[in-house]
Amino acid sequence: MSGPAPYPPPYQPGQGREDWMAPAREPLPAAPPPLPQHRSRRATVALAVVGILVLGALGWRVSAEARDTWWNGESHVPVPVDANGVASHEGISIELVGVERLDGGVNTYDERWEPPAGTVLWQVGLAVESTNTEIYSLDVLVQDTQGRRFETGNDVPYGVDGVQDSLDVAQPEPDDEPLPDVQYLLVLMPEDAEPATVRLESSWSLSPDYFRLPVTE
Amino acid sequence: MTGRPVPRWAVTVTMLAVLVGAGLGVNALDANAPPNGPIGVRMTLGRDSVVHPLQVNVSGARAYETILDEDENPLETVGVWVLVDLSYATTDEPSLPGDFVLVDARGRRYPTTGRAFGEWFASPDLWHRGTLAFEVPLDALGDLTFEAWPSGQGTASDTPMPYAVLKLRVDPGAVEAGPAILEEPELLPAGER
Repeated sequence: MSGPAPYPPPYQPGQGREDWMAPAREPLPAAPPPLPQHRSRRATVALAVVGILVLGALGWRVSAEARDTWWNGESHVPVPVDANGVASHEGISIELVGVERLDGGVNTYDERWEPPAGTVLWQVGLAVESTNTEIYSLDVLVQDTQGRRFETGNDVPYGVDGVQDSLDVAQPEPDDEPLPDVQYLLVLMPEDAEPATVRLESSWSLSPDYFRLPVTE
Repeated sequence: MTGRPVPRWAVTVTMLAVLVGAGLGVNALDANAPPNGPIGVRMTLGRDSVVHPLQVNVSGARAYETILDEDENPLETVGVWVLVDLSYATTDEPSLPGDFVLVDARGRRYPTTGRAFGEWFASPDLWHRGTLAFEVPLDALGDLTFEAWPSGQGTASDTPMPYAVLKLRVDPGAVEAGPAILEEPELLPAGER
């Protein structure tokens, strides 16, 4: 006979009910063998590693300007002291002569000045020699054992004999007075602050380098 | 589980209720959360607040029609002067704070005046007390917000920088004629604010 097979198939005498109602089908094709587990896990790991590397490279490029500003705008690289206690960099040599606690106040131009209760006035002595013609001055900060940094010249009286407001680094003109052997600066710190390091920085002329002079004794 | 299956409309209504409830809950949390998320700080009057590297303690605000600058010249303004008394220090490094801003109930932002003392330099654990002067229109008085920015300008929406926020109230009826004297910032003995 021609034409598609009729459905349901015609009843053949002798067939069981199951044969007639549910015509036999060919068995399902065998399932494909499963992928080997180790091969797909390696591929995943490789993809993740490549992804991280690519993102890292992109992030590094995108942040180049920000990193440059942060690195060169702040002090990150200390210039250490040598065996004689002198730190030298770019033609400037600095030695920390002493950090002295001034109890009992100081004399200014016209009156006696005492630090407020709970604070202590310290005097920092620095010996500076310089052949550098581009750097004129440096910010001097005293860092205590807790990591707090105090800037000299802040909250301190003016007009104290022998004390300067800021550190002079540049060589003076031939007809000016030469730099004093030791320059003295004042810094105010809370009572519980113990000086640990003296830092000399300049964000526009020295960064990211800075002088790091430990306070000995 | 036995019993009738839950009708579909009940499931839909429950899911909608959960969604709306979750939305309202997040709204409430957001309204009460510190500004700028976990890096923002809500201040309390008279208490120290740390918004790195600044530590701030605001004692109050008052309003005047006229103030005197440091040379004792009277300064007049079109609106009123709002003086905020506060003291601040830093935690670990010397720093000049970025910005102090007064915001009124309508969201208008006022900077510290350019005609008198502004921010002063802060040092670690060495507290200085002073007064910041703001010029505001008369209708800005009432509920105000004071913002302290350790760095950056007061643009909260642009840059996620930490800042501190304090709610202040200056009554429109409490404006004094003055002239109020703007004191120079002074270094405080340890422990004082």
